[in-house]
Amino acid sequence: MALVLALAAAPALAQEEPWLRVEVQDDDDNTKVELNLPLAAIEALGGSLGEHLVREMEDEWEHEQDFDLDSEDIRAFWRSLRENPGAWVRIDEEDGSNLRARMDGDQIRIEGDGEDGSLDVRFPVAFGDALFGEDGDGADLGAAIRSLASHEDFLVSVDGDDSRVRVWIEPR
Amino acid sequence: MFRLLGFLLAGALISALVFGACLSACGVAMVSVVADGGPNLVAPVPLILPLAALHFVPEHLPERLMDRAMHDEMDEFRGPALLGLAGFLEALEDADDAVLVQVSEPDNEVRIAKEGENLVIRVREGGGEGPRVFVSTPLRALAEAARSACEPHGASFRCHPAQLARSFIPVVRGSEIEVRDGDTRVDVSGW
Repeated sequence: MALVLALAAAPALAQEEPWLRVEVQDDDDNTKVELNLPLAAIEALGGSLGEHLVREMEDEWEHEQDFDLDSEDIRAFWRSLRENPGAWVRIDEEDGSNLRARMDGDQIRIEGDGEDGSLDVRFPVAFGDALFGEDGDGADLGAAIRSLASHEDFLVSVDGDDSRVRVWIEPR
Repeated sequence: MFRLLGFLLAGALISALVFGACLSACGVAMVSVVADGGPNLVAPVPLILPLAALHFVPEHLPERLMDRAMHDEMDEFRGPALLGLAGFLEALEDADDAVLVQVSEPDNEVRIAKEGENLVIRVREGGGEGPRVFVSTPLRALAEAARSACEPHGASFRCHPAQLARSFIPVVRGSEIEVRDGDTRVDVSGW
């Protein structure tokens, strides 16, 4: 019986698509914003806009900030981070607030604590690999978004005194 | 005498057929306004009218009105953005029905949902008695409009505002808009 049920459920599970969920809650003015979008749709948008956004960023750095940084530099920077897992950034302030950025297994973790609340970001390393790992003309934002599909943890969690942000991927 | 009458009738018939074909091809928006204490209005608006009016807008007018560099920069962003939007809407069309965006405040609410083949927007303001807006528009037509709104131009795109309007006006076909504010009601349905 269990085998029959499992076989019947298998096609349904196989058809599950990943959706991006975002929840922002502000208890101060009792506002709640919920986003629920198919990842395939965001991938289509990112795939088309990614190259343009990176080019814009490079122009901005070069012309506005007088800072010559192109996508090849970013790729080299990412490769060096990849080769040095562990703690990347560690900031401790006198008031007790802190920020950590590190590579933990197959996740990029950014954690922070401060007077106003806490921040926890967990992205798969595959996201950075897809965005900066391969040689090419520009960042493949579409592929990076696709790499989030199997991410089972939350992506962003922010807890403030009166507010809360959660971003995660949910199959449905 | 009969020959002249025949020509006139044939002319009228051909004009009516051409006009009917245009109406059928371009669609009609039925606009109904029921105002609080005012006269009620129901008017069919053939979508061929705004489309025809756009043919008289010079293609290069926006470039003359704004700085050329700014215009090119807008094209550069709008092209990929509209293509991305087209892909986004096509993927949405293939997805299950769902509430995509919901913004809830104590008295106000905005909901954007995918319902069947349509994108549906509901806005409610000021609790149960406040104004309400309902918009339903076919995802396929929106995606097609976004895809055809800009044309590739080398490595970039050219997006003329008149072309944008020409692409999006047909989206009115199959769309429904309802606005309720007290006793005032506005309905637009395209077919």
